[in-house]
Formats: sequence, C-alpha cells, structure tokens
Amino acid sequence: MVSLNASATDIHQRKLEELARLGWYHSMELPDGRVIQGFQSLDVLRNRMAQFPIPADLRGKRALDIGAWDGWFTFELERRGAQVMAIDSTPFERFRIAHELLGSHAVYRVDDVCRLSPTQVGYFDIVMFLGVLYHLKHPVLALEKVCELATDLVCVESFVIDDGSDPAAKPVMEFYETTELCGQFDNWVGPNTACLLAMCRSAGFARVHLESVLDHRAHVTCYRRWPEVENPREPAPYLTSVENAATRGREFSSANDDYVAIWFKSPRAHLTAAEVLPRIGPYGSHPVFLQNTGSDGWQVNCKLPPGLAPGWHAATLRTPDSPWGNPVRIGVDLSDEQRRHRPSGEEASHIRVAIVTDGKTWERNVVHTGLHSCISLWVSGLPEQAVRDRIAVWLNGDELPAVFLSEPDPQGLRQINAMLPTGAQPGEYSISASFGEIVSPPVPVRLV
Amino acid sequence: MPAEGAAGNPTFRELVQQQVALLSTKGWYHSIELPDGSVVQGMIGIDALKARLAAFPIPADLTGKRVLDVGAWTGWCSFEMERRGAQVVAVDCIEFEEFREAHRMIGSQVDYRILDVEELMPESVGLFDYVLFFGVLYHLRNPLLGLERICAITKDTAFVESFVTDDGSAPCAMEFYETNELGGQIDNWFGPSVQCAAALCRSAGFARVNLEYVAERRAGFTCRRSWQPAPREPTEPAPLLYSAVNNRTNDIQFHPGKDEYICVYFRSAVPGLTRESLRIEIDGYGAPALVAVNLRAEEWQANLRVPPGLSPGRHEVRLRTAESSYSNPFTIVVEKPGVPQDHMPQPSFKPEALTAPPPVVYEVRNGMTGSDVFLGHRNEYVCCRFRTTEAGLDRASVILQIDETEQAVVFLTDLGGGCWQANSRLPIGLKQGPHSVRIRTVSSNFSAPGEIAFQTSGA
Repeated sequence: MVSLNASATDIHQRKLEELARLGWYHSMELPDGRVIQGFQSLDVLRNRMAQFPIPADLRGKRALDIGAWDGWFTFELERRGAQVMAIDSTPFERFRIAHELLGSHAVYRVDDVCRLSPTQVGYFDIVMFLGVLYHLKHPVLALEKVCELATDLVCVESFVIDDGSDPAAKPVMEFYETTELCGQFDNWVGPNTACLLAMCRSAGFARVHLESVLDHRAHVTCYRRWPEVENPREPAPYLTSVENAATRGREFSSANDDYVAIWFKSPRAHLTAAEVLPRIGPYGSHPVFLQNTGSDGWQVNCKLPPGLAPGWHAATLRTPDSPWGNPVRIGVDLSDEQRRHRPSGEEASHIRVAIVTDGKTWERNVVHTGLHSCISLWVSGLPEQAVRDRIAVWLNGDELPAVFLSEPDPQGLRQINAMLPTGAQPGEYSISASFGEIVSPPVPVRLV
Repeated sequence: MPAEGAAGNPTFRELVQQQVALLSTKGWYHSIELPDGSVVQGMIGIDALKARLAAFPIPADLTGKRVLDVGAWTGWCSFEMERRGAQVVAVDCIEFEEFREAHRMIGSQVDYRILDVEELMPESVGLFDYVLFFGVLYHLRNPLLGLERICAITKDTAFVESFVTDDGSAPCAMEFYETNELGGQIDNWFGPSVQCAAALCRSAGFARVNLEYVAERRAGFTCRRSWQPAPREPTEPAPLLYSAVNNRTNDIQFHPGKDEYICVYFRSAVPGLTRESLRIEIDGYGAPALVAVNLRAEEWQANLRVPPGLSPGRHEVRLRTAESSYSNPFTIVVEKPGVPQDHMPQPSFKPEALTAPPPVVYEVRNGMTGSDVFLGHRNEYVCCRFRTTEAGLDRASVILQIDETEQAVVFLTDLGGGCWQANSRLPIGLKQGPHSVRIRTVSSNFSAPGEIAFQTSGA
C-alpha cells in the first residue's frame, strides 16, 4: 500500500474534501489512519463481515466481491491477503478513488452477476454476495452463477421478510413490481429465510448454513464441498450405477438442469437424505430425492453441480461416518475427442446370465406379469465400457431394451433391468442377454 | 381460515398422483381428434381442452398468423391453431413420441422443436403474433426470465396459463418448491399467487395483462404488448416528451443484455397523474411505468424497463395519458449485443468555424430542487435552458462553462420551438457564492452568462 507522503498531501486533501461531498456509503480507513465517514460505520461493516466464517489469512486465495459499491469488503479481503476482483453493475467513482488512495491491486469490473462466466473471470475460492440478491429479477439464476464461479465458499447476505425464527416456515418470496419495498424501484424480490436457504441449496451447493438474521438481513454461508471424515467407522457404500436422471445416459450437460441418479448399496438399515453425501468431481451436491430400492439398495438423485470443467469426472458418495464409495466416471460437456477417450476395458467375448429374478420381488426364475412388470438379470462378461443402449434382454426372441445397467459387483456381475411388455402371457420362456452382436446362451424363466 | 395451500397438502398430492397413474396407463396426455373423426383418448378429454382454449380471446381465424405453442406436450393446441389457419411452431423441453405420432396421423405441417424456454429468442425461433404458454411457468426455476423470453418473441399477444396458489385474494408472492412439495413432483419450482403471476407478466414487459379466470388453482392471463389505441377524440392535452434516457448513464444508449431502465421526462397539464394513467410505448410496444414522479408544476419523470425484443438500432419512445393523444417521439438507440459495457465513450467537444449566433441562456436551475441554489449534493445537476437557431444538436456539439471550467454536457434535449436543455455536473472545489454559467455550440461563440449560487452543505 502507498502511504501518503508530504508532497502528495495537498492533492489528497482535495480528494478527501471531494469524497466527503460525493457522499460515501461505506466508511473507509486510509493507510495513515484517517477515516472517511460513510453511511455505514467501520463497526457496522466489520460486524457484517464477522457474520461469516471467513479466514483471517487469505494468502494464496482468490476472492470475488459482487456488488462492491464503495469497496470496503474488497479492500478488507485484500488486506487479509486475497487476490480480489470487485464487480458492480454500474461504475462507482468512489470505488476508484478509494482504490487509488489505498494503493489497492483489486481488479474492478463493471458487469451484471447473471452474465458472469468462468471463462471471462475465472474461479474463486471465496465469493461475497452481500446485499445484491433482492435487487435481482432472477434470484435462482444469480445464485447458480455465483455457485458456478465458487470453488469453496460463498457468503450470501440478503434482505428477508421475516426474522428467520421459524425453521418450519413455508418458503415464500414476495415480488415487488414497482416501488413496494422502501419506495425504491430497484428491489424485485423479498424471500423469507426458509426460501433464501432453499434457493441457495437449489443453486447447487453441497450445504448451506444460516449464520444469523439481523434486522431483516439474513447471512447464509454456502459450501461447495463436504467435509472429509478423519477416522471413518462405517464401511463405504458401493455404487452400482450412475446415470443422467433424464436421459438415463452417462453424459451430462452443464447447460441443462441435469440431475445425477446414483444407485448404491449401503449396510446401514436406515438412511435419510441428510445422511447421503454425493460428490461429483470435487463438489458436493445434496440429495433432492432418496428411495430404498429393496433390501440394501438405494437410489439418490442430486443436481449436477455447476462449474465442472468439460471432461470425465468421478461420481461417488459417502454416509456421515464412512469413507467415499467406489468412483464411477461420468462425462460433462464432452468434446468428441473426450468421448472417444472414455475409460476402456477388454472387449466382451462371451456373456452369461447368472441369475434371473422378478424385478420387484426378487423371486428367482419367476416373473409376475402385469402393469410395470420388470425382469432383472445378473450377467457376467460385460465389458466395463458397455453402455445401456447397446444392451438388450431377449424373451423368446422378442427384444426388450435394457432400462438399467449397474456397475460390476465384487463378483463382476452386472445387473440389467428390462420392462416386460404389458400383454405378456404366463408360461415357460427362455431368456438371454445381448451386448451388441454378442448374445448369451438362453436360460429358462417362468411368467406367472 | 385461509385457503389451504397446495404445497405439502396430502389431498392435492393424492390428486396429482392419481393423474400421473392415469397418464401412465393412457399413455397420451391430450386427447387427439383424427381426420376420420375418431379420437385417441388421452388423460385430458377433447371437451376439457376446448374449454381451456375458449377461456382465452384467441381469434377463430388465424390465417396468415404465426403462432408458437410452448410446452406443446401431445400437441392438441398446436394442431388446433393449425386448423384455424396459423403457421405453427410447437416447442417442448423433451421430445414426445405421441406428438410425432399425432403429427403423422393428422398430416400436420407444425414445426416441432425441442428447446428450453430460456432458448426461445428472436434469433432462434423468430417472432410470433400469438404465443400459447400453457402449464409451463411453475416448472421454471426463473419464472420471470421465462416470461421475458416469451415477451421478446411476442408481437401481439401471449396467452399464459399457470398453476396458482390462491383464488386471487392473496398478496403478491410466490411459493418456492425445493423438492417434491407440490403434488409429489420434482419438476415444480415456483407457485405464484394470482396477483404475483399478473405482476410477473407485466414486469416481463407486457403492456396490458388481463386475468381471464381463476379456477381450481389454475389461472389464465391474456398479455398484450400494445396499449389500447389512443382515443379518437382526446379530452386531455398530449404530453410534451423532453427526453428518454438510460437511468444509469443519462445517455440514449441501451444495452440489450443488461437490466436497463428508461427515464422519461415530460410536461403534462393533466393533474394527478399516476403510473397507471401513463401509456408509454417504444416502437408500438407498450411498457408499464414503474414510478411516476411530479418533479414540479407540470414537469414529470417516469421510469420503465426497456421492453424485451428491441432489435439493435434506433427506436422511438412516445407517451400519452389515458385520454390524450400521443406526444412527440424521442429517439433512443439499442446497441448491438456484446458491446463492452464498462465505459461508454464520452463525446468530446471539437469547435468548428463560428457560423451560428451564440445561444441565449434563459434559465439556469438546480435539477434536483428547481431553484438556482446548489448545496453540493452528488445528485445535483446544473440544468441550463437556452434558445438557439441551430437544429440537430447532440451532446458532443454543446459545452457548458461554469466560471472558467468547461463541463461536459451529460444530457441534452430539444424542448421544441428552438428551446433546449443541457445538464452538467458542478466542477470540483467550487467556492461559496455566485457563479456564472455560459454555453456554446461547436459552431457558435459563448452565450451571455446566467447565474447560480453555491452554498456548501450545512452552510
């Protein structure tokens, strides 16, 4: 930082007079100890900052301050050692003046939060998103953008319509068409605390934590990662399959609102959504759906976390006290080149049906006909890169497309599910599985 | 007891789940009438489909019109619009085999595309006379963004149908559904109240939004892009439009990707104007005023959003009051997308040969208070009104001088009749007391000075 020398004092004195006249929102502490008094005192600003668990030492970290205004938070992050970018929707002369007086190296950029992209501004360890959300017409879009830019922590401060004391409150958000809120026409939405937390979660964060609500201002810390377990005491879950919940394929697009469906086995008798911690690449993503699929089998759906680079990423999950499960690779925004370089294994030579069951009751060698009737096979010999759309089940020569394909279990068997046609008649049938041109020997099954 | 909410309501959930079960057995969502008179029975009967459509004022003859059906599903509405003579584009977020099958059986020419609402833009699908937006709004994570996209491709009218949380009496708010709170389905995101849905449609840029019906937690809105025609025999005087500028920059330039607002400044002798009594339009697209402020006497300011869908280039802003004809137009410029938005180039003043007589300053005032006293607040502008024989002036061709300091003109407007107004900031470090203000153009010398008084705040 540049300290004020005697010859510069006149110029700076004139600047200070100018600043006083310009009217500051943030107070500003200058290197020589003088303070420009703004609308918000230094104590108020420090207290806003103190609501969040921001490390005192930010050396080596990259930080983003969205809606920087006069820049107090930008300069405070810089003081703690971070490399900082400050963003505002309209240029503030006072930011530039303070930047110069403090000798700051923060990068100042005029941009709208909904148009920020990592290709233009890069990624940030910490993002400050204070006092902006309720000024936006598309709050969820903005939170998704912010999540995409962050690699670790986002601090959200927003106006809320309640005091946050009712944890069971129904999430609602007021909409301000004109000047309903404080006579200002730049306020668009007023969420209650429950809605703010739900929108933060839906934006793609692993977990969000309400720090405080002070005078209709909620402070929410949003984390992109799950904490690691030091000494896990439970066995790891076993992932049997990972799919795009909409296309049932192995590929995902960051441009869509894609969800990841993970099928897994867990030795725990009971699981709640809060006890399943899915992770895609480095980022956690909280469950939006969890169901038991029979005995120790579970299905969990989570949002594809924003900000993943194009390429192959490991999907895995753990329970609160377990290590991470086996990783399964999924493709995100794959180029043709990346698609060709998918993980490979040996080609299938011969495949064999080891087990046939009813897809719902798990009875062996018997399938119940009727609406939504399903058949499950356990098959050996399928190569690792086998994809579901090349796999079929053959019932007396009728092709039934596979609707599900699991990862190999410890014995190397993979589960294939296929739907039975609604008009299937009871009787004795033969069944086989195929991968491309290769067909297994048939095995008997009885439809009842 | 207040109306029972739909979210987390077991009865509502049961109802939706029954519908889902019915859909899985029927396969088809809409019933479809085939050319031979036979009907493919879907979950929703032909009568119900006809009744829903009849609730909206959609012309029976759509010959020569272009119609978009967003969220077409099985396609009954698309095929009905085609039957009425329209050229139809049907859009859905996933491909429905039933649509393809019905399309083939009917021999339809409807253009079927798989696109998200966010992807609907003039460049991707063109513009439409009418847009059907049925049963989609509450499935969007950014409902207002979806409506903005719809508005930007609508030339005339959009018909919006949505789930709503109330019967019309609840305040303007929306419920947020993080998971499957609404009907046990995970693809519902926002449930607006009736008032909120209407406000969202207006905020998206529609001039007039009319509630057609509310029944069984569904509401229908007709959203028109233009105001009603001006009265044939106006009983109120037309306003005089001084200017229409970007509220952030005071310039006439607007950026299509940004959330930008227009400030219009006008004179009207109509007493007691409110934002509801103003009819502001840009190239015929009406835009509701967000605020109307009586600056002093007959001087007014109104703020509005730039209506969506304006192409790059020049556009004309006009306004009227409820019972007046339209004012004079004022031209604004919409920039090309992707123009760097940080600092717009400030015009620089370059004097030329002195061929015109000097302007005559007839009024100098504080733009904030209307007096000739300045206190040094940051929102204060010097408003200098002058007469000149020159025409076609712009900001770059006029400069103000306050004492010996030249001040750039941040705002210039033609008041009509040879009268103009130029605004500038005060120079830094002005001493307390009287100061002179002069003005010149690139082809004239300085005017005789006008005077302002400067008092430091608190003095």
